[in-house]
Amino acid sequence: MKKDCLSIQGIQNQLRNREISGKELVEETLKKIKEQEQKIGAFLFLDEEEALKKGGALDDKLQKGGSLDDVEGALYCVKDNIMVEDLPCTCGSNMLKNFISPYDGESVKVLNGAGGINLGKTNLDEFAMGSSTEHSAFQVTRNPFDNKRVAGGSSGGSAAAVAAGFSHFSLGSDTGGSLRQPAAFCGVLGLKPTYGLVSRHGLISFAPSMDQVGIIANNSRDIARVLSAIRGNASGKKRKDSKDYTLVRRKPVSYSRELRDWEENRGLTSKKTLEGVKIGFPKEFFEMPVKKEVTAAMEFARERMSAEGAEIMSVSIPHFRYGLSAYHVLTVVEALSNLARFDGVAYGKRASNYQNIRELIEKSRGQGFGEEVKRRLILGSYIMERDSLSFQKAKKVQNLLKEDFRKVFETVDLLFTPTTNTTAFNVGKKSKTPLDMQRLDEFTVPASLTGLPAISVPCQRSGELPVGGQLIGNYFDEAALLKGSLGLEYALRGENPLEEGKR
Amino acid sequence: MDKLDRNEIKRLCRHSGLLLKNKEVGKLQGELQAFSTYLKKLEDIEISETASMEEHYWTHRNKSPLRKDEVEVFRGRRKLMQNAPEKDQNYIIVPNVVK
Repeated sequence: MKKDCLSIQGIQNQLRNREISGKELVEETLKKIKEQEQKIGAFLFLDEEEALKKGGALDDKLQKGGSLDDVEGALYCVKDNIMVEDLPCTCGSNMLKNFISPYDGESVKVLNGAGGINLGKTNLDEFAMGSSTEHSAFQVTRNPFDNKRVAGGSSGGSAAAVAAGFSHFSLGSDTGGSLRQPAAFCGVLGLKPTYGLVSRHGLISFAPSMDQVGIIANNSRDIARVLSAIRGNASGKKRKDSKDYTLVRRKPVSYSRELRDWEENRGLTSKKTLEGVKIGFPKEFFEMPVKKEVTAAMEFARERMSAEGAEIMSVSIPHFRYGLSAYHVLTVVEALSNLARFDGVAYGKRASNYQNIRELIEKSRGQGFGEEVKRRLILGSYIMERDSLSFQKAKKVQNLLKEDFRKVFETVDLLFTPTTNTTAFNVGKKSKTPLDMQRLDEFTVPASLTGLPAISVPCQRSGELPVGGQLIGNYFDEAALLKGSLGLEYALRGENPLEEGKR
Repeated sequence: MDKLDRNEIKRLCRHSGLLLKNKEVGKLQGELQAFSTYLKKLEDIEISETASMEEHYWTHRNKSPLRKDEVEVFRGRRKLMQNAPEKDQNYIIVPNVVK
């Protein structure tokens, strides 16, 4: 991959102009991965053969004069809790170490059909439970900015792969911040769509009332392209034929066209990039202790947003302080239910020494799951048995937060908060202290609990460690959210952050 | 959160379908107790015993879609069976559960 070519538009220009062929693109990328992957550990599995085949097929198409659709020719990778047919799907766990996916998840099927080239499966915290990708059974993923630091989690492999220039975008999953937080740590963008916009078919469940397939990329335009492809109804199926009954039927939207029209309009009217946009800063988020680099980046972002015409308003999310507690109570219960299927009977790890079915199940699970997963399952069991009142209260917190956000969105277009309370920390620093690790999610869980869309955008000044700023939008208004994130990119980095992104 | 002794943790493990070594149980005791900070925070939230379903949370109010009541042939058996831990032709081998 050419050094500056980190956008989908950029690589498509090069492919059209024959500056690089599809096969060369894949070959160069695989070479780069082999050179650098030992220091980073983003991938669990590389599908070289298939990627090269698709690169060749792309060249055939271009030779016949075919045009390129939104994601055609783009290299991508997939978090290893999303099914890709005939590839391993381990969820970062010994429980599924030898499991081969029997089918493609819906997002993967759509992206492959649209000409995306999948490079392979990326590392994650086991069953998406974690915030640093140190809880994978197989390897730790390190931050491409500084290999002594973590990549964040649980979608650490997906974020690191994009940040290292291994792929143009990646698919991850976000339950409480598992995609936004690693994006923030690795200095890339990460979108969690509205719950119900993107099919969860093929995503192995952790807490399915909050799990969402999301996108990590280098810029808002690329996220818009990918989202247009994978959003619900993209495969043309009616909702009743979709294998995800939580998918919400919406009219098709081209987010790329929305962004292009918005940019043209700004250019024609010479408006500032965020003029007329009301951005709320929820005070409760900014009262929490954060590292000084995060404070500095938030102040920089605020100053730049104001300079670009945004109307900054102080708002309140009064029930914010209950969010992290509610999230952890709900997710341990959902995890207990969803991981019950991993019993060593029909698939997955089976213990070698057992006397009866009970021993088979208990030993298989005891040996297959890691510490963090076991801890959460036992907590889930405690809540279900002894403290169902806490579960009811956690459900009520969801309603209270939803009402808080509803009121706020009557007066603002978007909300802006830190994505997480720190920059990427050194490997091993927080892995022994679960509560410290879990505090990393305190700013991301409100959008997860309520199902609102949210995107993390790099906000640090040039040369500093990555810091993510989170924009939260209203339900199914990803168009406004992406316009906001593109505007924020302009505001923070001046004229078009990526030269190849220009039309 | 009630204090969790080793026997209680072992009992919860059973309910979670987990068999842990004694060393693992000991390590978990402290970690599980730390979870009580989350439960304490939720004590402020009041719940009415007679709360109606309306109080319960819905992300989006959609009716569950119904599919046609017709047989759909599943063609992925071979790929599913490749993941079976022990098998004999098209059967998965499991311990005897019927006495």
